[in-house]
Amino acid sequence: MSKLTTIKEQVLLLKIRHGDAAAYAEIYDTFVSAIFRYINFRVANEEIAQDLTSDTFLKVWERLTSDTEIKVRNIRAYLYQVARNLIADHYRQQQPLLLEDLAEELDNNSETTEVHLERQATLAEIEQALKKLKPLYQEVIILIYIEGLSIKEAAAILDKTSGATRVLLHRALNQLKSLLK
Amino acid sequence: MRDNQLIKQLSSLREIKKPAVLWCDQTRKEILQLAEQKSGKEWFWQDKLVFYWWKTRSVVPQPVFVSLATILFLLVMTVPINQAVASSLPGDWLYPVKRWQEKITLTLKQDAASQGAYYLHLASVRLAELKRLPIGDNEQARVLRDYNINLSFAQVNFEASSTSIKLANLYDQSINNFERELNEVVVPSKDREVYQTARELTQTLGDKALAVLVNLHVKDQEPQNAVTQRLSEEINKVEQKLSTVQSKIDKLPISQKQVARVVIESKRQIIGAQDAGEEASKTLAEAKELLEKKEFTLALEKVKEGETITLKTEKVLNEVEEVTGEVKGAEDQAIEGEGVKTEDLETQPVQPSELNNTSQEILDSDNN
Repeated sequence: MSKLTTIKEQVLLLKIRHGDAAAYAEIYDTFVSAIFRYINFRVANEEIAQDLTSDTFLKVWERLTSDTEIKVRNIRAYLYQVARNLIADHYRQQQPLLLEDLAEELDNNSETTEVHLERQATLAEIEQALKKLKPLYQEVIILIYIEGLSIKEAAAILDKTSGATRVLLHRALNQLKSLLK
Repeated sequence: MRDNQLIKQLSSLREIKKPAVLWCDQTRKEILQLAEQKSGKEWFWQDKLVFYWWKTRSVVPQPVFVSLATILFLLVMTVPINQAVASSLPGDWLYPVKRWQEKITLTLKQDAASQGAYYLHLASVRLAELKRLPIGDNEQARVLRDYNINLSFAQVNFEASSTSIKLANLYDQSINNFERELNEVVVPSKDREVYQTARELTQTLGDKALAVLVNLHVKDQEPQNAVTQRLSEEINKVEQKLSTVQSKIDKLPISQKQVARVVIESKRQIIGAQDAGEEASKTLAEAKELLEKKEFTLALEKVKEGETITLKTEKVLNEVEEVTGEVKGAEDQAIEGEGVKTEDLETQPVQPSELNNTSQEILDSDNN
């Protein structure tokens, strides 16, 4: 994340704290896809992911406008943290759901070239394998390799040090590879 | 499967996992509706300050922002340092810095007029320092010598520069202030000589500036209210001095009145102190008449003549006072042991030839 992006985020955050809904809309537009994707990988059900995503944005708005003590330096990391807690709550409340078959999703895809289908099939295997990983391994891979966050940002979300996150990532990738063999 | 290949494929998962556009829009609306129902906290000035800080940072490019912040920081930091340097006194550790600053600033002055004006400024700085030094401080003599040097250079530059009413006014007003400030200064008797020189130099330069000022007003036919007022002030000043002298004369016993004799060079005669006082008063009255007739140059001559007679009379009275030690009303006695009040020193005669010599000596010593 560039310095300028951080500065712009700080301006938006200040506006949001003072109840500027338009500023929050900007945050929503910027991060909704990433947050949805993160949740969707973790819960495997698109409807639940949608609910949890909107819950995440509502909760963040609520906290930013109500809690004057809360200090948010990185809005993206904060959104992931809230989403992460909601996912944890979701799993605490419900029995783990069976993962949907990704093939169903692929059927809905409009692209029909053979090469593309082959690539999607491989991706489906990867996603399946990803779902089998420990939740912490899943998270670190999603955040860093799929969402493209830095080690430092991921560490902040996972509440770990950069070194520990790097080790976690290494182990998660090795386990994923072993599942794909 | 290689690590790189796997990572590449993981990142491509990002492309296929996107939320539905319709859901996004719908959720956006819902969230904003709920958000608008709830108002945030009020804007306080601290919030606004922080907001505009971030806002400026987001608008101004990073290098420019860093430069601006650095300049602002340096400006903020230099203000107290500059204040400390400017208020330093001889003997302070920052005083050499102050003198170096002055030297550097002086080198930036290109022409005689601006150099002269700066020397005047430096003289005023020295006087301010002199007033702040404790009475009897060893640095007093040094500061007075520096004042004399600055004033001498100011005079040299004044004579070298093309005269203008503005410049003459600056010199005249500055010298008036210097005279007043010198009267407030108390120096120990050991520094009496350098103090006397300072007074003489100040008066000489003041006379020159006033003469040029009057002359320019006459020549340029400038609005003459200013010069009329200035000469009136000068007449008042001499009259005040004369009234002090007159009161001293009145207190003299008759026998001593006959002893006190004053040489009036302009009239080539020697007269008694009382007559001299009357002569000075008469001369000042003539000056007033000439001023009313707008004869500024002649009026100035008369004022200076009246001033000379007054000073000479005062000198004679002081000599009598020293001899007899009985003159009453000697208000201007030495104070604080060796200290000498300035009014006492005013009674020292001012010889133009001596002044020129002193000035030249200072200039020579400085040049050497």
